[in-house]
Amino acid sequence: MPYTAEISRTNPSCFLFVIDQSGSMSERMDIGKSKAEFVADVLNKTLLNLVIRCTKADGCRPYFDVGVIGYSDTRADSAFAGALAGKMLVSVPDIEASPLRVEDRVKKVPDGAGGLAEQASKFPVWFDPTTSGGTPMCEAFRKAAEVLASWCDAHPNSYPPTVIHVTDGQSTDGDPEVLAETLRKFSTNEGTVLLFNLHIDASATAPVIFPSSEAALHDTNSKQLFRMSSPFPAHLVAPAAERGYSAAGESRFFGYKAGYEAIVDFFEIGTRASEMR
Amino acid sequence: MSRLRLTFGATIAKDDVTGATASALTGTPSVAGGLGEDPPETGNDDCFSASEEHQLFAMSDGASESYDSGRWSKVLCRQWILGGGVASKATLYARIREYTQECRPAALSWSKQAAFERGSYATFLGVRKRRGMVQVLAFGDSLAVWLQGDHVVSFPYIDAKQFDERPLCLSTVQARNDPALAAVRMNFTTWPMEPGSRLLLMTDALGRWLLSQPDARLARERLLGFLDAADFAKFVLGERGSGAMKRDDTTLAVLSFEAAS
Repeated sequence: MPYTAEISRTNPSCFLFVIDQSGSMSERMDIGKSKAEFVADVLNKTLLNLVIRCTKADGCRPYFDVGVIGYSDTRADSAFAGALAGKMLVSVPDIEASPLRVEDRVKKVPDGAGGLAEQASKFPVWFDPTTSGGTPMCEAFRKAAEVLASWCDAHPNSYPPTVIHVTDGQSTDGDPEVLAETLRKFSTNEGTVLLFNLHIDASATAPVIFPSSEAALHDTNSKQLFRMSSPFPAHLVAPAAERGYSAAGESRFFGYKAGYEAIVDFFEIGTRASEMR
Repeated sequence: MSRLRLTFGATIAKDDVTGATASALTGTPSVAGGLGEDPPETGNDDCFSASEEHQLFAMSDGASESYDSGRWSKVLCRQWILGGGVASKATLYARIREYTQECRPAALSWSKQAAFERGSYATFLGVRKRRGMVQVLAFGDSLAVWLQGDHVVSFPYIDAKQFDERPLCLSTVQARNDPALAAVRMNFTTWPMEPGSRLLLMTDALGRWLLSQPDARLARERLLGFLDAADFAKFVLGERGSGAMKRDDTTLAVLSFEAAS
């Protein structure tokens, strides 16, 4: 059965985030932040959640290898900075050890009486938003394939890698569909690479999340991103339902014109993976 | 009047492939290696504690994906014994305070503090005597099975498919216990204390295995026939190897109802 392998320190899994950093990502969303700022926030929160999931009383455990590829202008490369700069994949304990900074923030938590109370919390930051030029999506997928081909070879018994790709536009360096198809064919003994595509939109009018056919989409770009996305994995149907999404048998792990709520949900559901041991 | 006595008990860690972490459970006040002592570092987040003298027994399975579930399951078991088998909202909150005190969150790094705030989760089975009957309190997917001749009852699950559902564990985050506390009256069962009966307590890997065996009688006989912890380990490793049992911390306690002398 694919996608049932437990994730352990001996057999870790892998998350690769591929982030569009083109100029259009500087457009403001209705919450006042730019798309790039909001995606950076969600990505930092996602990394924090991965660190939390891997942290036990005796320390942070290497359950996942994680990479972030940023693409803009004509190039795609590791988007890690600071001590992790230039590294394509790092283990979660390395991420835990190397935030760029840890900010003091205030979060709202249940006050036990049906309301919310403010609580001080630490918010580590690994990524700052950056935007520039075009959308070299093909180059980003080539880089992702390079990284994951060797990871799959080195981890034949692991839960396969999950790629979460976020973009707000169309490729400016060619047709990425064949490259995405190639990427999805890489595999471990536990299944093929999962490729989840998220198209984000500042207006977030009429978002389409986890569609089951191209018929729900109305332009060539969205139809192409649909075809580039993996079928919705059965074990993620329940986590999606908990967040109010119904993913049918034919659904693809794809979101189109996603606003801030759907962006958060997409990352949350997409990084559930399998059970950790 | 009969008494409960621990006639067999053993546990083995999830990552064990040789049986090296297998150890026997004892019927005197104990938490793994001994009450108040830290158990040997085996990575096993299951816990069993017992006092035959006070007729109190407890088993807990700490959830793998939580901050310090081994400590939490140990606190739950220990306090069931020391607290005289009392289950209430107040005792649960007292256990959360004790766990928090032991973890010293203010002294933790940002990542451990965040993981601590996310909480630890554990199942719980508490056994006590009440008015000549045995009462079992259950939270989560650890399983109690009562055997009297051919009569067999399991609690809280009766079907292997129920193990696929998300278990209602006890949490170190106070607010997250509301669903468990709301269901507390539903989480008790009572069985007669008839000499010759047996009560089996087990964590979910073994519970799922037992309820999914096509020959239930043969499976029960297997669980009642272990010679020692090494024999138990051999069985668990074999079932894990064939894919019949989930690779998880695995614990079994067999309590026998014996006539009081």
